[in-house]
Amino acid sequence: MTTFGIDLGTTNSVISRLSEGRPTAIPVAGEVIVPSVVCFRDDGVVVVGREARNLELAHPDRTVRSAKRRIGQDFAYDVAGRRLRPEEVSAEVLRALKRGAEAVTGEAVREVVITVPAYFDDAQRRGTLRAGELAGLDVLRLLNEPTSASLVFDQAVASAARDPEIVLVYDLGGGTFDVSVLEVFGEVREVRATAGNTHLGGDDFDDKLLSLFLDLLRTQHGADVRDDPRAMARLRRLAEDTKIRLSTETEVAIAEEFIATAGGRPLHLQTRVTRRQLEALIRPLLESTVELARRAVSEANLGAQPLTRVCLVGGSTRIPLCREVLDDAFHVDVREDVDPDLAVGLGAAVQAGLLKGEPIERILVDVSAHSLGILAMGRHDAEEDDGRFTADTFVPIIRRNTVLPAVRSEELYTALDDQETIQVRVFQGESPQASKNTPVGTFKYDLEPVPEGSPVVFQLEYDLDGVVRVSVSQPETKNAKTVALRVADASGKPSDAADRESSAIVRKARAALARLEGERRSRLEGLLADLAATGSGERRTEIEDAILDLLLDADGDEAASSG
Amino acid sequence: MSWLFSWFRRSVEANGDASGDSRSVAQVVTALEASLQEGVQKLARLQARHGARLEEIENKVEGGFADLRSATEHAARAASAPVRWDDLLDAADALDEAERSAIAAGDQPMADGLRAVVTRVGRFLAQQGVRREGRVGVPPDPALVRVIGAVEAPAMNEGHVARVVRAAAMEGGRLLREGEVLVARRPPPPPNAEANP
Repeated sequence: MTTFGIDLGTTNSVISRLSEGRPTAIPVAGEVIVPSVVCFRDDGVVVVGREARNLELAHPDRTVRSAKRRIGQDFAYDVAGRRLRPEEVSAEVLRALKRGAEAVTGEAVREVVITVPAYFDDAQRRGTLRAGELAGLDVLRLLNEPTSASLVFDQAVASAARDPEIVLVYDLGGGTFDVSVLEVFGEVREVRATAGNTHLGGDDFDDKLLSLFLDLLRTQHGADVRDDPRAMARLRRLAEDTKIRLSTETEVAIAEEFIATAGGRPLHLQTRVTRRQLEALIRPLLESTVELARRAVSEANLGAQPLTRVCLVGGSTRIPLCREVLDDAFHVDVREDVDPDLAVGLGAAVQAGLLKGEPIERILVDVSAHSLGILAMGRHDAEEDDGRFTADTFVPIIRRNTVLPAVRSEELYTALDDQETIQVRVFQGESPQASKNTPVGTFKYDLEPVPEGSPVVFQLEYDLDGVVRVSVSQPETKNAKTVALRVADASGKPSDAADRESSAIVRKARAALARLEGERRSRLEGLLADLAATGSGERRTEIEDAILDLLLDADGDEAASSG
Repeated sequence: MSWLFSWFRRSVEANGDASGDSRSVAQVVTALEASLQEGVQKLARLQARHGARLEEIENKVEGGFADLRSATEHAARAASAPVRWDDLLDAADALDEAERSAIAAGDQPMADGLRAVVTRVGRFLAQQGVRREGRVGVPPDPALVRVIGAVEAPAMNEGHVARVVRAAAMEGGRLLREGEVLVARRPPPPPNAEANP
């Protein structure tokens, strides 16, 4: 019998199962993300999910959302002439997920793992179990949401760590924020601390943009449309769309015609919103989440144990600034290998499979092994900030561990009035100094005459074949250029056959370092250092010969010992 | 290789004059051995260098193929990407709104013209297999539209669609995008209504 995993969320829910050893989310009525909304129609039919959400404003007295917030409490909803406990409402959501999954898979859904927030108390957990029972489910286990997410991230990360790891699970959804610190050691996962804000999420970011649009209408047209439900609905949708687009674009052109009327005249909203503007609006909210994350780390009493990585969960973590503030705060690997909307649900399916002894396959996710970015003028080291700009700042555009293929863009600004060209230099690596990273390629981009500080957009499109397409453009002009570079070239741009041979020897030597030990290893390290400090010429050939001799000796010894 | 030199040395010593200068023979052999060893070493280095160069060329060729594959896939993706109708559907919604605005302003000829343009857009979409859905005066169909609010509409049944803010769009039996509607609500009773018998 197949086992299933359910993420019973406050706003949305997901049901998933293991398919050929890998967790897969199951579409219910065509969508894998099911709104946790229940509508009790007057004809006795119970509608759950998208359709219930669509009817919510038409039948507020018959609709319940976010029952999870009340589960386990001594509380009842007065809905459609009935008194319903939160467990009974949640049971309707579970029942809809069960039926939907059965329709898609053709298998009976009976045994399940359901996820709950790590901070849920006993009453809330018992309430969730009761909801499962009412839905006709056999709940094998209630699994903490961060534990669930970490399970699925572990399936995606080829971690060779044999020591306990400390993982921070940062879960920023549409309406809630949870952060947990987990200790992971082999199969054991322990939640060491949790923190959160039950009323903070992507909806708050939408509200910030909504306020921006309302202000614009007020200043440009002297109109206040807050009492106009049609205009407000359009602006709300516009805010969400703009937020999503600004995760991959640096600027969005807004054109909402006939948004409202004032004094019998139609009003139009036309403007541009930049990612910088959005970031300025939401930064305080994101910084408040980082503070909560810091508090969780502090309460976890880690002692000498370092934080190993951060796992991103929840759709709002797609916002680039979210990752940036976490990078700045913790300086550890930030993982986004798994679809943040599905991670918790997929982890529940993995747990269900583990409980039933099903084989679990590793999830193969292609991610960028290094950050890819460009060289710019700037101040790269805050500690040594003497107010001077240097032309050695590395601006990462596609960050390390980004799922591929990926498209990301960044807006930078011209340094001079009527600057004629930009030498676009692409690097990969993690150092804030471009010169310490590996060059990928370079090309020239001619600018149209603009004043100092004018924007230039750099877009990097990185595919699974290791090709990065670098597009440079000037907003509001037709001036654009795209160049394809191969990241496999990133050992430096060889200029001739001898250089190519030389870099091949270096690569072989670096690869050999991993298997050599003792004196031979330190000698090779010394030779590589000498080579790095030596230009071309006879001395370089001598060092290369010494490296080749050492490698040949090592190969000979290995062959002798294996033979 | 050293066994070869040992054999050679033994052979020379065995066949040489017993009273002859066996020391110089040994020196010759040692020199020969060293020279041969050096030659073998140079050969091995040369082979390693050629191997490295060959590896680099292979990498380049593989990279070239990767570039080609990537460019082909990129072009194929661009060619097979589904047509996005969002802008045209949004434009049709804006024209609906413009028509309502013209009617409100009492400009019927303008409203008629705009209606004719909406009809043209609808016809074009229909030719592409896309149908706009948004009927007023009926209960909202939650499979197609989302209720985003209510407006006073005394002439309509309460809860029925009073206004379409965004038409739903279907492509065959598939929902391309969800619509948004406002439903009718009854106006509140006048303040003195309860006082009257």
